[in-house]
Amino acid sequence: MAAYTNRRWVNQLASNYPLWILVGIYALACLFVPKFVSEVNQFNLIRQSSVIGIVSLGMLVVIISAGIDLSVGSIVALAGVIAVGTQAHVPLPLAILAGIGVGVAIGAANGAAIAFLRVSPFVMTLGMLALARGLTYAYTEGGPLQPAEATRDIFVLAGRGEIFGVPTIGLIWLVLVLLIAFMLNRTVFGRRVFAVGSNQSAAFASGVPISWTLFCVYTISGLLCGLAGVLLASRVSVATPTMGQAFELDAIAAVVIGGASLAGGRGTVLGTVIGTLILVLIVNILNLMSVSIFWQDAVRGAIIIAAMIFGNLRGRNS
Amino acid sequence: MASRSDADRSQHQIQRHAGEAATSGAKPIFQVKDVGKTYGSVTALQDVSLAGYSGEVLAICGANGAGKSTLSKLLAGLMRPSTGSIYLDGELLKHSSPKDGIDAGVLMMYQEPLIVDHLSVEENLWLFDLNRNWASLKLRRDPAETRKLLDRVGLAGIDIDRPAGELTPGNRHMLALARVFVVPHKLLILDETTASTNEEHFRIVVDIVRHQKAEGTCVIFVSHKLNEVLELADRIAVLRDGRLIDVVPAENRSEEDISAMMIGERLSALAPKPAPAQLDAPPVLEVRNFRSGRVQGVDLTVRPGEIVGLYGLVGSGRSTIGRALGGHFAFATDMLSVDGKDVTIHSPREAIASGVCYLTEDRHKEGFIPDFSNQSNMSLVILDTLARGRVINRAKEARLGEGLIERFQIKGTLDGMTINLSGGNQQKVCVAKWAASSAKVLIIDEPTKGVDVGAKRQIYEIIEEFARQGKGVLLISSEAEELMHLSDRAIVMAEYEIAAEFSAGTYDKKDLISVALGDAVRTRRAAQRRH
Repeated sequence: MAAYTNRRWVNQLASNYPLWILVGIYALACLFVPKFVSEVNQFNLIRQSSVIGIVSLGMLVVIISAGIDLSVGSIVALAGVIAVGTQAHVPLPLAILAGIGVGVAIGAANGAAIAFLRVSPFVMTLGMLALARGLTYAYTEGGPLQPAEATRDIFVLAGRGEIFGVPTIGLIWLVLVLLIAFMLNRTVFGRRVFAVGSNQSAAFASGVPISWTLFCVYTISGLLCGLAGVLLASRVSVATPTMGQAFELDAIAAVVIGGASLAGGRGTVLGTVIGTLILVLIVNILNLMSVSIFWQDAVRGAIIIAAMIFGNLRGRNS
Repeated sequence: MASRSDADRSQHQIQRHAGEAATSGAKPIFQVKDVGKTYGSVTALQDVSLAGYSGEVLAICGANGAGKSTLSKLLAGLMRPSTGSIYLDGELLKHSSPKDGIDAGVLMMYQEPLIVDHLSVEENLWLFDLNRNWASLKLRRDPAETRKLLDRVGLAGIDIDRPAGELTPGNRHMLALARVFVVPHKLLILDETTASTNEEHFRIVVDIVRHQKAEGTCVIFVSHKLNEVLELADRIAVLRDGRLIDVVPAENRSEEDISAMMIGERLSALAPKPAPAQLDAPPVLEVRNFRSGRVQGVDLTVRPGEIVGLYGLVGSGRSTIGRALGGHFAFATDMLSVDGKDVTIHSPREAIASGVCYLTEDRHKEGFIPDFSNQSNMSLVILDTLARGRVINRAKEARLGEGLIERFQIKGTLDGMTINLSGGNQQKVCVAKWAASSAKVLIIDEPTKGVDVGAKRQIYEIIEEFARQGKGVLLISSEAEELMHLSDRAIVMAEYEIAAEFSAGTYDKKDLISVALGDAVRTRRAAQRRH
């Protein structure tokens, strides 16, 4: 459960092994990987972490409710191409809203099917993974989309700009981290998400509105994915139909490395942020060491499996 | 109840026999020598030495967490003792798998019977036979033989081809119990076999145990129900905090003697409630022509400050009424009013909003949230009222939690996890969360199931406190003494309808049981006469 007092928060930090793994990898990289400590690379790290970090926040909420959202990568892509593709026809704010709105709509569709029609989250979001990706290909006809000339410079500000010397996209991530942490730990809704994920029958018997809570959970995930999609398109200043691929893998891994239980009822925002940073850091180091992209995938997969096994062993000991 | 004197007589004969066997230095069936068991840093059992002899019933009594289940599991070979050793028929028990126990002649009846829901009743009966004989892989046998065995455990009318998952909880225990005729064994362990069953099932258990004794089996009977323990046992072993306090002959002991040994202090006997003052306040709960499933046409009224007991056999429809009014089942009524206002209830959420709270009988499945602290569990129901603009006021929540822990003497902290508490304290947390709500009607289903004697008393006080606050309480219970102790009015259900209603002070336990058994007993007796 959530940290209640400052003392507990400190204890949690001290016993938080992913944090020490993160610190360890970071320290080793500083010492041994050339160009790692450069300002350019540090900014890169923040920019790379932010998009997947935002998606992972949504995944965290879903996993705490004992669900899973496999459609996150496809939602990111669809939101990205819609936000870029509509720029030529409507004002920029409207295009951005359209991108985010598509994310909310798909999340709500997931939520409605799972909460009210009782479709299993795995099946529903697996179907949505294919459906949304298909829509993305159909909309782009398979090719990349460029932001409209007139709005391009403004559109890329969110992904590439800086505020007070910090990447804007990183600040957006930080704000969302604080918001989601507040929502999970301090609001009635957050408490209900934990209750539903831990024991749905007991939550139902205690008067928790199960369907409504689940509906909101998937809608929130959709909203965050929509936002992440727009930010990703802004960062790379192009929207391709293949973007966001395998994001579900990274997001689930980040949440689980951060100590959440796939059985539901457990998970922290801090852990998820650390999980995200560990994954991005490793990819970044492999890039700097010029490891082939194909090997990178294999290494990432191995890390995820190792994290799951380690998590299981830890769960068995407690 | 007519067979009671017969039972007593034959029990005494066998007791004498067992006493001789024990004193004449007969070889024990099982021997536990200096056994201890620790889970991590928790000591569940310490230096326990105990032996059981052929043809005797040894009861194991103790409060929750005293180590009864641990001892049973060690004997069945399910777990390895941390220290000491266990001998069965003189041979050291290996404890590498449950099969070792079965091979050594231990048959254990678990608290949750080992029934495979998707297999038929018949297949479940012969399931354990597979262990013995690979040639008997076929689970279907001569139906006549199956029926004969099922008849002996009171399941004569059951369709043996139906999935066993359709049986009522009590009948599941009986089906598992029928395996005593199938599996060869020297030691039979009954671990809370009668916890969720009724008087009728207990009679069957008594018959089977008597038969087992005559065959020379050693029977271990683990139960919270001390009246049953005294009726069945030859000797009683009492555990407290993982230590064996004493082993005493059951003869001439009272329930108070045993519970005093269990909790280390003496409690007064449960007195039936005296006749209540006439209540003429308008009812806080009024139900007319309640219909749900097989229960058709039940009327109920509960007045403020009144505790109404609902007694009946498992499957008599009493839980249906409780669960339906709590919002767990669909039901229809001609009239349903709470505190004078007409309400509709389709879910627990609506029930709570209408002022009706249902304390579940299944604490583990729907009583509390396993990943929640005591504080979060106790505030879950009334979270809305602790929040301002959807943000939980944590100071307010902590004050509520502290108040409830003190008021209900819960042995736990606000931040401690409910799942780590003992059964009795878990139940107190479950009661506390409803106490905090503004409920006008509390439906309480089996509040002391699996709860030890000391915690029971505290839960009774809590229920009486509810009534004193002017709430209406509908108490569903299988324990006649408990019901008589608490209720101003007792309603007895049989065959899905209200069979009788008694005011406090105008009935005794026999009245309750005979009405509840009703036709069931008469038909069974008629069937026996025909044989």
